[in-house]
Amino acid sequence: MPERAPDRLLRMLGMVAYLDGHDDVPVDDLAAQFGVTPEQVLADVDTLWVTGTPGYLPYDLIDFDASAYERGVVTLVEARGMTRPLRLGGREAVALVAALRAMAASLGPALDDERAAVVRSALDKVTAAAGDAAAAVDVQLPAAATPQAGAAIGEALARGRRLHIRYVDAGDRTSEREVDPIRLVTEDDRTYLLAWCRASHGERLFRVDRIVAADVLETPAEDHPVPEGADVFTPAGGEAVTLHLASQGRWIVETTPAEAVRDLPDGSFEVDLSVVQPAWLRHLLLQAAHTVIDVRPPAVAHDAAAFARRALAAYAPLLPAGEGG
Amino acid sequence: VLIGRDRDRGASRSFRLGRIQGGVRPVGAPGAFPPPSDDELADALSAWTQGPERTAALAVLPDRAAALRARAVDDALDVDAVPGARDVLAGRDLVHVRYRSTWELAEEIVGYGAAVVVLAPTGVQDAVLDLLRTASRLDIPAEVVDA
Repeated sequence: MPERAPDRLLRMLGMVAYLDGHDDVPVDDLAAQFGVTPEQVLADVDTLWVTGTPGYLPYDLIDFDASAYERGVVTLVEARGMTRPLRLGGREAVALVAALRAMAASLGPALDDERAAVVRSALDKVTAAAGDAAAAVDVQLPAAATPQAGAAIGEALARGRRLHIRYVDAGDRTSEREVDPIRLVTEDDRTYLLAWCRASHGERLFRVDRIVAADVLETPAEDHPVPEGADVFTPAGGEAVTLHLASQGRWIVETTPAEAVRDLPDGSFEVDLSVVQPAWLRHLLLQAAHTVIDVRPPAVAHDAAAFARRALAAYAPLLPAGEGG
Repeated sequence: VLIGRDRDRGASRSFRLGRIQGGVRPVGAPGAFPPPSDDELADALSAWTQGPERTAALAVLPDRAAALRARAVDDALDVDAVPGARDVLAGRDLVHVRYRSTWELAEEIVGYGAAVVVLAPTGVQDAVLDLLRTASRLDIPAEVVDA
């Protein structure tokens, strides 16, 4: 399988640093350490051998012990300064701290002890190295899955197992599905499970706060090719709806994939949406009721208003007579 | 979020970066104001770290609002004290959930429409009713609504 150049570069740099601290490493051990085949290790070493600092004369190149190499053992003789510890800029360190804290918070209970220790130790080291800058970030993730579902999702991802989930969609319909989990995706302030849904034969994003129950099955998850961009929610082929909103409704544009936004002279604005799930739009209109000036087509406004009137009717026994609507 | 002192209002305010439109430019000389103390900063941030956790009592139609049910807790509010609660609960399940922000919970609950009725506290109920009443007039032409 072709490998992306940045991945290979990263591994080779890691290899030089590793070999600087470990002498006489058998090729097989090196392969296991970096998760690649022994052939790939030999190819990497061959490339490193002709790699160096400008000038590129023999003494400018990284060098290995040739006789050890013949025996299938890798020994670094000359690192050409490639083992200088990685230096992080302030911003890079803060970004790493934020990412590690998010990882610890979202996967916390799902990680096994060994992985949890790795995250903790990396976080401690980077936090210490970043010094005051680390105090500038505060990561707070929204309450995501229930602990039971969160642990099951984590275990299924770690062990490559199929999951049985009970899922509630935007229309409040509950379904039971078997899915092959692929990875967790965090987008804005929600976390999604990207998984292959066996019922619909395609990859789907499941909001983890709507996975109300999850069980790890003993069946191994199958590998499914996932097209690039599958982890970004992009509604397609929906109904075109235009909302005219007061300026206080700005948040809708931030949290909703809008097709187009037009600012109007009086500070209000129009937003074009492509709506796949009518229930989702209805919920949005009810949430944003105070800022909605107009909705096109009118049938959409009527649907949302009728929905609200039915809900109000359910409150009738709680309210003094005549206060229903 | 940008936390800053709003000079017009004489109080600290937070501004979502995504809602700041147009150019931003510095005014005033460097060092024109003293940096906030740690206490002032914590005060300004507390608006974002929300209030204490409270419990709401909901009357939910059977088999509906599974996502709310998944968060149900064992706390029990005294709903018998709520006039009419008994009538609403006939044919509905009593579900308690914890929340911090009244409007966040209200915005979530309106999505369920008639499937979820808020019994208590009144703050959440009022917020839901307010949204529902406003939304119930969405199909009335805008000129008629006194917005």
